[in-house]
Amino acid sequence: MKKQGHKVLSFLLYFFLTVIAFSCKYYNEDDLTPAPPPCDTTNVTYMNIILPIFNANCIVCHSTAIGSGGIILDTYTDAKVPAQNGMLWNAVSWAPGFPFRMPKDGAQLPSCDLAKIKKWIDSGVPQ
Amino acid sequence: MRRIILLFVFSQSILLYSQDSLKVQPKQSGKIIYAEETFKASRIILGQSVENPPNGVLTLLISHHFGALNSGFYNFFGLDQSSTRLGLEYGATNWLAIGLGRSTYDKTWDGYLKFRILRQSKGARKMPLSLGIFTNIAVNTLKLTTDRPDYFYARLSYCTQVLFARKFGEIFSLQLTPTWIHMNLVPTPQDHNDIFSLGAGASVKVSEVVSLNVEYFYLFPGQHLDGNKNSFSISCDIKAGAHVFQLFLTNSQGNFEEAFIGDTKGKWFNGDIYFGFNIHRMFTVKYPKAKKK
Repeated sequence: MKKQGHKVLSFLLYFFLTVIAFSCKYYNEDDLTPAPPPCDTTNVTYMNIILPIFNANCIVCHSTAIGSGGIILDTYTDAKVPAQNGMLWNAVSWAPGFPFRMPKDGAQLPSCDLAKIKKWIDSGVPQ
Repeated sequence: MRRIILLFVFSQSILLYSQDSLKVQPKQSGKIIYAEETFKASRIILGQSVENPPNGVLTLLISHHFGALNSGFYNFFGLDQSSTRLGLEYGATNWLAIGLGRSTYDKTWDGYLKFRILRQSKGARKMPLSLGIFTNIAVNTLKLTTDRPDYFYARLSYCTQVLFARKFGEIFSLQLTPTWIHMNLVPTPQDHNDIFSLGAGASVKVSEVVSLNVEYFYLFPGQHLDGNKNSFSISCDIKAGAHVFQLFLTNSQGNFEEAFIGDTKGKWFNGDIYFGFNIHRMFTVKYPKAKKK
């Protein structure tokens, strides 16, 4: 009986120590957290990239029908005006001193969307 | 592989030595007088003491920390907050205790083995100190709130301690506790997964039922434990029959080794002091053969 007890204890001890030996890892939060997907800013044109961003975030107020503040973003001809005079970038990048922060009463656009808008403006607002 | 071989040799030596040391006792011609009650309970305050429950005795341990004393009148100086560990500890033999517990802190489960290798004694066999080995696994069961993969291994941490204790005369006991904690997951690559610490605990017996204790865990420098502090606690133990009550003040919020040694944020001088208590209740589950008759 006593021997059997010792066998059980030996098994328990080896099991416990084996679990420790095989489950010992060297992780850290930074390495386990996946990196954000890379932001693709190649071939940024109004039709392909910029219009979907405007449709998702701006068209509620800045459509041809509403045209809040005289800004229209759902046609290329109208959208390139604020893009070229700096209003668009100042508004979406929340430039210090600029009176409007867009989207109005919302969170700032994701950094990848901002990078695409910047690239579109810097490359001459291609259609 | 080297770790596995080392563990095998280590565990084999524990088993052989422990069994052997017990077998040797009856063969001694003279009387061996063991140092009894080096500490009143199996915890000095938060940390393990060299004491184990006797064979066949099950201990229920309730360990409770309130919030910080400096949390103000609104939180009634910490009494509105609490962190609890409920634990069971069983003396499987006279040299091995098996324990299981669950803490509020990070919703952690912990299981452990505690070996009693040497017992301080005089008379026919002189042994200057008591020696124990403690090893545990803790599993954090908090729900993951970030978008990283939820590996089970990343929830595990381990603690191994060697407990050297000596009772000086009838009233004073001292223990040194070299500690190795391994955390499978740490916040940044600069943090060390292995943490080394040296603990020290002392107990002064005021009367047959009351003793005063102090305990400190020193974290060795250079382990990049951002904001971590050394754990320091003081307590008063009261023994009443099969109960031991420990009332303590500490700067640690956690009540298992990985938390209070590896993750103490409070500073005594800022008033980050937590009042708490341990209640140990012993139940004799298996009576010794002599008493059965």
